[in-house]
Amino acid sequence: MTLITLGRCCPPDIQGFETHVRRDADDFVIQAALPGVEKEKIQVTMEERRLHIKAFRDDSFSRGRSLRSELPRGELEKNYSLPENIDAEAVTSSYDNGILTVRLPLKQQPGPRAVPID
Amino acid sequence: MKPVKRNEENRLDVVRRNDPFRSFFDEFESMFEDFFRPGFLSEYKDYPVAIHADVGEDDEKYMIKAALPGMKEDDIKVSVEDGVLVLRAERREEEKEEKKGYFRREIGYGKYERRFRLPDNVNLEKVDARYKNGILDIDLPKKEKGLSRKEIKVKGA
Repeated sequence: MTLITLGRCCPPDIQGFETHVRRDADDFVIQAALPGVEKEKIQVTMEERRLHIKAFRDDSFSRGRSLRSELPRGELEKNYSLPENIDAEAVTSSYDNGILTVRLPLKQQPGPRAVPID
Repeated sequence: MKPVKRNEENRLDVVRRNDPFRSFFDEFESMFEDFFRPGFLSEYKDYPVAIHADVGEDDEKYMIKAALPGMKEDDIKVSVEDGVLVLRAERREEEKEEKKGYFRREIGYGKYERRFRLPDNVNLEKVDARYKNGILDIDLPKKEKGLSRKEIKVKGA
């Protein structure tokens, strides 16, 4: 379980994938490099204050033999523990050209409110 | 970012020992050994980052699948120079937007490179490359058997 950390950039490891977390004005953004993964094989799940990213990458070659294997394959997974001020209902994700982007909007802080005087 | 030595050498040793094509598909190995790779999502790198790839073959062709997440086709250049297949990619534009004091940069930028020494039996005329889902997919058809074979007649003095 990774606690969400600003600017954190994990290099890909033998059975992992590269991710990057940053904080913008009103959201956190988690990006994950998942080249060669079909969109249908990516699952993003929110559970209480946890975010799970799960993906499956098939073998590169369905036939023939492999001469060199450097890309991660099979089950790929990463879990994050989220800060309290995330609006869980408003989390969105998109996948484009091998990059998964998950946006985690922050809860709107209620501004000062004038209290009417009876 | 300071280059940090990755604890990956053991893995590479195993791969290398079992790799009969070491002398062919292998031009850039030292980059994997000596550098922590900033990858595709980090924000700054001032030297080319090695592109990871899977290589395979069947009876008709060699196949390379190179990981280049978040690129556009125009960012990727594939060439063959003196029997070496060169993959280069560069993301120049910074999609940066300032909002309430925060800089938003969609994905990292930088240069990526990988070289593969090709076996002699690749038919360079028929090499084909496609880009989809962050993978550059290259087919390198083999020359038909016998095409590079030539009998030399031995003459008397």
